[in-house]
Amino acid sequence: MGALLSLKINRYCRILRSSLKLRRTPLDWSFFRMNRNWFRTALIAANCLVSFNCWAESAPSQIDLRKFPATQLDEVVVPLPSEVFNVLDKLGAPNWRSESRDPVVGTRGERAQIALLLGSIVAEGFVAVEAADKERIKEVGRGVLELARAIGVERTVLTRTNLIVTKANSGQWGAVRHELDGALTDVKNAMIELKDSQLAHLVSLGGWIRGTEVLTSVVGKRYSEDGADLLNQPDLLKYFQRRIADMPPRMRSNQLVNKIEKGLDEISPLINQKITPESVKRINEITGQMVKAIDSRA
Amino acid sequence: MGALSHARATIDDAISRTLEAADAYVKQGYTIRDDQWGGDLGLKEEKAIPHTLFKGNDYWFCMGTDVDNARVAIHVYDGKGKLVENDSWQKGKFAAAHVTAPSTGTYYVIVEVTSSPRERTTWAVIYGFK
Repeated sequence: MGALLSLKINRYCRILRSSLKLRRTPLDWSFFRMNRNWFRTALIAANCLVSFNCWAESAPSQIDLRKFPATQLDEVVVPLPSEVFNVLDKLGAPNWRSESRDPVVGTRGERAQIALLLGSIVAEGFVAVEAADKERIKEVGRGVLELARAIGVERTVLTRTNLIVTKANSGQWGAVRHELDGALTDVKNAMIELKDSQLAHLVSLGGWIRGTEVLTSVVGKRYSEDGADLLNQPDLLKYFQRRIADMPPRMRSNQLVNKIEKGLDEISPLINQKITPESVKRINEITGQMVKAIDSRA
Repeated sequence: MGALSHARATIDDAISRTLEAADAYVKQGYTIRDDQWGGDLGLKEEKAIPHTLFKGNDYWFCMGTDVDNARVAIHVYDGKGKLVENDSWQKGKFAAAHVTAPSTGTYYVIVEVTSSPRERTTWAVIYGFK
């Protein structure tokens, strides 16, 4: 600590000397020499003040998280699909076209199904961005608008969907991702404002399920511990499980919601342990079945 | 109703101040999420925001308030309560913490009002990643 302080003082002295050198008058140098001790004392005092300030406000290196649950703001922040795809970008370049599929846009189902489809189609948009597939992106943009209309939040996403198409046409893939993230957030916020937070959770869940299906497919084809680590989301899974458990009995007993709940229960033990190639494969199968259920008879 | 709209207005002010603080990170290529977390806190009161962070991503969490002469702090801890941020700063009404997630999992963003002339201080948090 003493050495560190001394290094800092010497550095300050060097800076001060170099700034004084600019003036190069004998008077200035003699003034500095005469008052060297005073400068040194002032610098030590300044350094102590700065250090004290840092100590006073530095964060403890360890805290007891048990004291926080009562004051937690939210149960957990659901990450944006972009955050996952951002990491996938860094892990290599899989054949995204083979991961892509025709977006299913059905508006005849119940509101729960439409909400799940909406989340799923946004996730599909991210796959299309990775594949740089302009036509698929346009289909996704139209699909988002159609599904949003079916649950009464069309106006919220109109600007976003237009931007998705425009930005895709000009190949601004980063901007398309941003608008897809924004569309998801806007739809959820609009639903919460309409006092329909259950549907908002289903939108998030639909995105998570399709996103996880794609993630496990990509990781399964070229397994790495870093890739598998992306599935280490037990708290997020618990969050979704609790959201379904908190749904009103009528919605929870919906056949599709029921299937989704069972799927999450099956995934849970696989995520709560070291994620092996076998568990990646199994999670892919389960999420694949869930996506099929979401798409069916839509 | 009047009080409610006033509270809303100050949270909105806190959000716009926080967005100003995050502007530097936009210029560094961070994507700022179009979503915010906020509310009001008493002096020295802390709140935890649990967040799934992904290994390989780089995050900046920014906190701000619209209350003049208030000071806020923000830090990031892992699931075992260990401080994991690479860097953090605190400048009066603004604070930020930088973390490169060492592994994928749940992290805790802890926010605090360290000093304020008011009993309750409105605050907002936003984050960016790249």
